[in-house]
Amino acid sequence: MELKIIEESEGLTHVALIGPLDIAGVQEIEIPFLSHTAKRNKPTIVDLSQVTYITSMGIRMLISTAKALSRVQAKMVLLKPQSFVEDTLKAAGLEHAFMVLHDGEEALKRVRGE
Amino acid sequence: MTGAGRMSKSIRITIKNDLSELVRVNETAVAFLAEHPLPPRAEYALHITLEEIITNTIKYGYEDDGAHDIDVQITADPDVVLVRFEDDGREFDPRGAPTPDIDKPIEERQIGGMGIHMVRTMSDGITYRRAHGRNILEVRISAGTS
Repeated sequence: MELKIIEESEGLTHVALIGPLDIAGVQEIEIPFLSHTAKRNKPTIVDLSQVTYITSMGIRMLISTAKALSRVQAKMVLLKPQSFVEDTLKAAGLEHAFMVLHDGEEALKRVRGE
Repeated sequence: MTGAGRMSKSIRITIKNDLSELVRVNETAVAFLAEHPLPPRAEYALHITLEEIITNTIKYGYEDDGAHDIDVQITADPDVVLVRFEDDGREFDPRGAPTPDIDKPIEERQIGGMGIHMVRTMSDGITYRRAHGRNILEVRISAGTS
């Protein structure tokens, strides 16, 4: 599992996760992921386009992050999940809890509340 | 170990009740899938099933801190993948586990409790029996479509 930082600015956090977001993947990147997302308190885009699969441990990490950001009124978007990953989010009932988008420009607008 | 019978292929692995063993399970599954490719949906559901069931057993299945064996067998037939788990943990039938409240807003969501629900949703059938003090769980995943 790899965490890629795409942008960290005053107005935005944009990161990408790469690989399987399973228990091993979460153990590998959870601390830096939370540090670069939840702890920054900024509107956040998490690119999931290269996440090959996601288990409940990965979902738990995303829920924790979304909850932390929600407490400071910062929005979080999950960007471009592969179809099976999106199906898993739906199976967990999270398709409405998270903003899941497939267009980068739209994600930017929505996360900034435009 | 691989075997064949009526065109089925199977592999069996015995692990200890330690979450670090999931790496070995995953490596075994990846090697098996390299040799016996499955449709993407079945492959995906297999990964989810392995991790969620084993994690649940290791985290909640035992009343003591001792070492226990968990047997995992994956059998791939042309139309179905059968994943069989056998352990000597406390009796637990995942078919009866409560469904998490997935309609709550994210702020009110309990973290955890999703794994069994995900397996029930993504698989195509689960059978369970208790025999000789052991849980025997079989998860069926359709391999007929991608």
